[in-house]
Amino acid sequence: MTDVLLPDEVWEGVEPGTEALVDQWLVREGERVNAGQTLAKVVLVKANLEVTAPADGVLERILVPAEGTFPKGRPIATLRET
Amino acid sequence: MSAALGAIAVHAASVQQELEWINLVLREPVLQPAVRVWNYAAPEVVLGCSGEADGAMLERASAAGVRLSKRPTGGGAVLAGPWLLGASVVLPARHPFFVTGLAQSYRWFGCAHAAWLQSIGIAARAVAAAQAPRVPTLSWACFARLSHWEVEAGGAKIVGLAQCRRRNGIIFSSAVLVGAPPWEILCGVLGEPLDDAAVLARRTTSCAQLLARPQPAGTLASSLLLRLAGELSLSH
Repeated sequence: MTDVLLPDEVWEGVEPGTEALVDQWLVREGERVNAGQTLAKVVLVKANLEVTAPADGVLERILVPAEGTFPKGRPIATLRET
Repeated sequence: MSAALGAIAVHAASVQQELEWINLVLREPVLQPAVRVWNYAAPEVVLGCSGEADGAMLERASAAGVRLSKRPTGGGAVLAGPWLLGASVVLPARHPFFVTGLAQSYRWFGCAHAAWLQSIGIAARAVAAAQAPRVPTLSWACFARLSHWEVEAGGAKIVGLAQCRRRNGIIFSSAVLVGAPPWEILCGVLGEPLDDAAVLARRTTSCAQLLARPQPAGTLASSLLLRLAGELSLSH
């Protein structure tokens, strides 16, 4: 199982304790995805960002639903690589 | 991006036209930077990408005669109108100005706005660290607090910044207060306490308030456009 994350580099300089917001999921659990495919849009520090699939696979589980928030380092979904 | 779209321009426009331009340029990979500066003729409430307009908000906007839009960038709500200039800078995904870390990514954009304001006689500065919200209940409003590299003058916010990163390119957006907005319209449409309008008025300032000799919005738009184009080494 592979974690789907907002890369740590994006969080550089952001105040500790700040959380990002999942704006929108573009795929559903169980859907097949390709490496680099946009899975979700998230908002952090007034920026709207794409979270992409780290590998080919199936989106196993969404851990942070739309409108949910998450801190640095927390996966927002898991991917079963194929 | 097609060369026919032009590298730089000032537009008298609605927010809808601005959003259509952004959608158009991000439809294909951005190959070269482009800048637009927008003058807004009529009042419009613009929600950040995570803002949602419910039925009651739409009714209040309609009753106030104000259009309601949603932009692709993050942040709180903005009241566009003749008191505001908008700027949009589109960059290729691998442009040298692109910095992965979000906080620092705004630095060039905020400093360019501060330098432009200084050039027209306003003692402005871009603020590196985000300001903790002094009034948490005002988090719905873009101009209630300073985020990374946003611009203040005399201790009050004058420029708000936001961005949208897509695989085809990056959009940096700014909102510059050239006059004092009727904040009560924004509070009313959002369904927030009208007392917040006075707080927003205290937390913000504008070119009209700070310039000894006020300049027309069109003149300010042209000089902002040239400043941003100069940063990116663009020409007509």
